[in-house]
Amino acid sequence: MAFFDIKGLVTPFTALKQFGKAPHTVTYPYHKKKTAERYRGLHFNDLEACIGCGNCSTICMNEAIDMVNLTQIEGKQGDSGLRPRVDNGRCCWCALCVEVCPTGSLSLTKEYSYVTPDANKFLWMPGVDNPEGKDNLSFQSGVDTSLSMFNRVPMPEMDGKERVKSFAETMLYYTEEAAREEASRCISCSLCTEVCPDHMHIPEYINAIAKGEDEDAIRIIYDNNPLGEMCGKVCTRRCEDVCALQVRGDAVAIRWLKEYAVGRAETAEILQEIVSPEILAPNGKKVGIIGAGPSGLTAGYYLALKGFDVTIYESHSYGGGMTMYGIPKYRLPMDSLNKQIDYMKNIGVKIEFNTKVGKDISFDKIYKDNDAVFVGVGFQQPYDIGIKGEKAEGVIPAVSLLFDVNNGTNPDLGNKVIVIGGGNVAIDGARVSRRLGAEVVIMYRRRVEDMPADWEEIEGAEHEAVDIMPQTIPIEIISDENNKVKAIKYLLAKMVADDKGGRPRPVPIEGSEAIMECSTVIGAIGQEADYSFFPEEYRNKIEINRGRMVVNEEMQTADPKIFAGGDAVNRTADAISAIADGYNAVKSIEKFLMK
Amino acid sequence: MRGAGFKSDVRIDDPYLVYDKLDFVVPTQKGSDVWARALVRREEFQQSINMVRQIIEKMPVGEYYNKIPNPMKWTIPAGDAYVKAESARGEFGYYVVSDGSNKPRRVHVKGPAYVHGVTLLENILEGANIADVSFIMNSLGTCPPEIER
Repeated sequence: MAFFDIKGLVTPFTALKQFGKAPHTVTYPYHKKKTAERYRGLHFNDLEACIGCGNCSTICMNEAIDMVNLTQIEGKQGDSGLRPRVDNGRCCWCALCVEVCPTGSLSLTKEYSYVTPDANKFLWMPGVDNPEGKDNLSFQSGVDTSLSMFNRVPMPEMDGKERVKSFAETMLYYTEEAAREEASRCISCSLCTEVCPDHMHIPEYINAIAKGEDEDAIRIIYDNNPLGEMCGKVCTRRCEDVCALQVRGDAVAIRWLKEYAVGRAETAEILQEIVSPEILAPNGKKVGIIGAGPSGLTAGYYLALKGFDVTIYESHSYGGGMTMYGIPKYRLPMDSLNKQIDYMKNIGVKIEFNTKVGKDISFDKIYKDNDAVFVGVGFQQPYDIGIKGEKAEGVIPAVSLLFDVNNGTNPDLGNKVIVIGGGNVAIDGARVSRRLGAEVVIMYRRRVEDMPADWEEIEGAEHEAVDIMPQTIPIEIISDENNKVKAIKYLLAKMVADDKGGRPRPVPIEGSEAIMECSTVIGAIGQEADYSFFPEEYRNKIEINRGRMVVNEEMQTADPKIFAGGDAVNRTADAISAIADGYNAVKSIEKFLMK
Repeated sequence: MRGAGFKSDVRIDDPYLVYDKLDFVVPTQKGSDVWARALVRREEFQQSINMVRQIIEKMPVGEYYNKIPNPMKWTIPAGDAYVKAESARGEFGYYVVSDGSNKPRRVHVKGPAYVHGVTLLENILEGANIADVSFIMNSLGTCPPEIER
């Protein structure tokens, strides 16, 4: 080997030929390589779109996600107020959380490096700790690719033309297969339980239906709602408005699933066998209940289970209150309701039909004979329409029409009916009138989308060829010389945004006056309670404010022995709120009498 | 095994997916040593490339993305199942036991390294030089973490 190794001296300088060439390496983090199209990096959460359903947390196999309260987010209906927090030390970026996110708020970004010496800082809230992630999204949830199932199993219905011929039920309800399929869409987030006035165990019974355990589902429903089938047919289902799936798809058909479950028990006896509730031995306390509506029946049922001697006083010959006399039979058949009430009677609830308090029996007697009284009288008296000429013959309140029809008498409405109002009662009145053979027009002062009625009811009415005239204000009912309704005078309205931030107001358009001929006018603009059964001394004792009895959180009135619930107490005035009132009153009555 | 002349392959013995519709051979050698196994591996490359070409040619037109049922409610009927496939190093299988809930009760992974690294290696190593152990292990494709999964 030579002393001077020429090759060894020169070789290092060959590296100089790379001088001036672009390097093959990337100077991270100043320059980054382009990531794959659907690269799964660190999380980002759109805090506004997120509803805190916790699906991501449930699905995470590494338990890397937990839901925490964020001060800047306020919980509201359909939003738990919680937001996911990710432990980046546990996360394996499988992106299952993104794939099951019902709102699509959670995504993964292109960002993949996160360095910190503090182990606690691996826990962070996507969207809060990396707001810049918004511009860097990569793996996102799409409606087509999401693992959530957004399409509702369609509900079979009778054709609109067939429906108007009779009072047969219009909904044909789910078959077993359809119910299982629909139930399996639920993600068990429990947002629905929160908004349900009665806090029914919705995810639990849907889960039971999905698993094929219908009897379990019935028992779960009967835990806090003894009128499950009625709710299954006619509930206002606020649960479905907040369903996590309705953000990007159709809500789970919670109401129809409940109908499916309870509908499995065909008679009161089968129902009793399935529910087979534990009935406590009589405790010697007596409770009188006024009104066999949803709140009274609920209170009666649970009180009877707890060993109270319960008697319900009902002025009509059937139980169910407004759900019996105010809801048309094509929505809630009599058999269905009677089955549920018969079951209650079987477990020991005594119901005195055709007993009007204040006439057949005095309130004073009920008050003195019982240890506690529950008042669930509801709203029976319709409001007047409040326009000129409404005393004419042929102007009838919707509740009276529904009462008559449900009682078996079909009044003659003529050939053209005009219904005033936009709530469920108005739609019921309209659809009943259609079945009695009349042509029907609904006049509502706001827009169709402002109507408080259930959208399915509005759709049902449209299918039955009911004409809806939105933004129409009736001003006068014109009658002929025999004081019989002849026509209605109305104005068209335009919607004006409310300065105070409320919903838009209808303002009449000058000169838009028009007249429409009609044979009957049906008013459906609300009801109020009739407290005439209360003797003066009790009425003075109980506070009645704007037509509603005032109760404390325990459903107790100013007279500690009198409890109240239902439409005559709560503002929402629907069956499920009444059931909730009844259920809550039971707890308070028990507390009050058994202390 | 292929290095010792046995034509053992799950894709032929118990065909799954589309393997029964593909044209391929299982390469073998008779040497039963590291060199023979290396030659087998080399030939397998070629076979794999051929297979990929055949698959691309025969791939049918259709949906490539299908929705699975709601993962929150997707339950597997109670029971157990063992599914095996041919991996680059031999039979690879999953044994799953379900109790009917939405999470498996037991999952066991049977990787090829269990056979290679325990049963086979013990016999092969008899009489070999210490210096050759790593080569022999490497030629079998033993992956220690895979032995017990």
